[in-house]
Amino acid sequence: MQKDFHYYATYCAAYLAGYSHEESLAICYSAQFVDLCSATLLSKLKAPRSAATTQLQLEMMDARADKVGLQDITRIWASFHFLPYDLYAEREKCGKKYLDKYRLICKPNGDLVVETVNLAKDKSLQAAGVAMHVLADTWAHSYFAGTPSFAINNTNYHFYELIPDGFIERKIKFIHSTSAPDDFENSVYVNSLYQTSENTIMNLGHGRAGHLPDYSFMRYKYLPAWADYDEILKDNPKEYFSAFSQMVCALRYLRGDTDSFEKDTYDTEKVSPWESRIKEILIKRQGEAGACEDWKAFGEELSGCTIDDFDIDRYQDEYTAADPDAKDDTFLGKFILAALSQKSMVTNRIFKSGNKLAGYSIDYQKKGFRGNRDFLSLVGQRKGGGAE
Amino acid sequence: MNSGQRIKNILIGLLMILGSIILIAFPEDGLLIVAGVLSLSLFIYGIKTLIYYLTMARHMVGGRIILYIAVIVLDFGMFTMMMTNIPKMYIALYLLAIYAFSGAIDILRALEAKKYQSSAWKLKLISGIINIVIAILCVVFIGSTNMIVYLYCAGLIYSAVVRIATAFRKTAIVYIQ
Repeated sequence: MQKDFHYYATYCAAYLAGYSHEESLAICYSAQFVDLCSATLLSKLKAPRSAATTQLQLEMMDARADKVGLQDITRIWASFHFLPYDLYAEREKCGKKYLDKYRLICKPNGDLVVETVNLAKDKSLQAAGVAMHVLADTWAHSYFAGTPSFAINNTNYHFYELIPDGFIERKIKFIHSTSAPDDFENSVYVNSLYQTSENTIMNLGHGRAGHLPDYSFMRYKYLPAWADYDEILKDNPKEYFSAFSQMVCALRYLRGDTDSFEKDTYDTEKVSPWESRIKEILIKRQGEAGACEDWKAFGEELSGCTIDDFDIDRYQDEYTAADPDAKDDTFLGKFILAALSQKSMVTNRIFKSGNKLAGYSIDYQKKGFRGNRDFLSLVGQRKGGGAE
Repeated sequence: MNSGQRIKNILIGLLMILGSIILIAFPEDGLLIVAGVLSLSLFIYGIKTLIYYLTMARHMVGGRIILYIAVIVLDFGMFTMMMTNIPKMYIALYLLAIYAFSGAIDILRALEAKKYQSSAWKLKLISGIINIVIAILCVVFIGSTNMIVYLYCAGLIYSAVVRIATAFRKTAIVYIQ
């Protein structure tokens, strides 16, 4: 998913869930910021680099391909963009090494998505935004894992786009030029390079399928590397609509309108009056810019207020100018706490399942504070000294 | 990283530094050792690819390609190990490729960090320039046995230091309920 959904559609979902215009802006800003908060940016802000929620392309190319480097990558991508569906999934005749990666495959409605939403309960609006990014991506990024893996994430020549006009099947041609835009007219899309090395970043997430999972109008079928030659049909308009309805449901819970958030629940009540309008935007064959315009217009119609364009620099001065003790109370300080908290929770769950791909997790309750000091701020938050 | 992995990394790092010192002390015999190491690497890569096929790739769509690669690389590794003399130029070209690639990535990273106004860009730029200079030196001294050995050792020592430094990093993530 891209800015159209993480920023503008999340604003619409938050507003429909009952948040005010200002609150909805804070939530959608945080949801979109997850795609921009890299270690490079945090280092510029002199903020904890462990709070990174994404990696720039060159950061990944620069990352060491050793165990620690791969754990860094997995922590970020599995925690924020490819939330694992079932950490205890089984598959016959497979060794642990394969299963560890297989269990990181992302799908919606796993246990971890409920934990993600619960983690944001009674926390900041920024935490709600982070949770919405993670939830929405479970729909878009289904069937790929947030760890580099040729055996799991590779795709092959059997890749077809389903064009709605008469439901034509059109073979997709992938190219590897990073500067070339995707060509919707001829189904020519940019993807990552074919490399047979298991742990190369080219095989991270949906890189081998290009940006197809990120376009709301896209319908395609292909053979995932892990699915034993079973073809998968991905209907993005349908899944994006489910993501939107589930976001409204989760946000109503976070706001206190409902008592619990459960798997496979969607807020049809709040969304149904706008269903045809939302579906119209979702199926429109257009790039990110066009989709942003349509969602923005819809959001402004809903709230009657202007939705400011996303500006990465908006809260940076506030953070850098704040005293060290007050940083956690700034907009970005609260975002950083939410990011650390989410990363800490997902890493712990992966580690507890016996899988070391995201690294080691130390339970503060049992062993006290050891390990990476960036997470010390979470102790303050737990004791009531951090951000609300 | 657990304690066992930390100790293993430190020991491997120390052995790499020790090996580099020996190579620097005896550069004339060093080239043969470097050539042997490169051939052995190919052989080990073939074995590793075969293990990768058996443990991972056999479960994937189109995974048999990995089996073919493993057999070909293994065969090539065994063949090169039987050659008594690998031309120096191949070793120099190998080093050239490694350093030029790392240098280009470092410089691109530095430019990106500068764009984000990160303070780390100067260090990255210097590291990138040094790598490019070493790559150029590989071309200039393509005929000098000693220089090729020294350049190889410089890379080995760098990897060893990074490996040891990694072993001391606090990597565990703290989970707070």
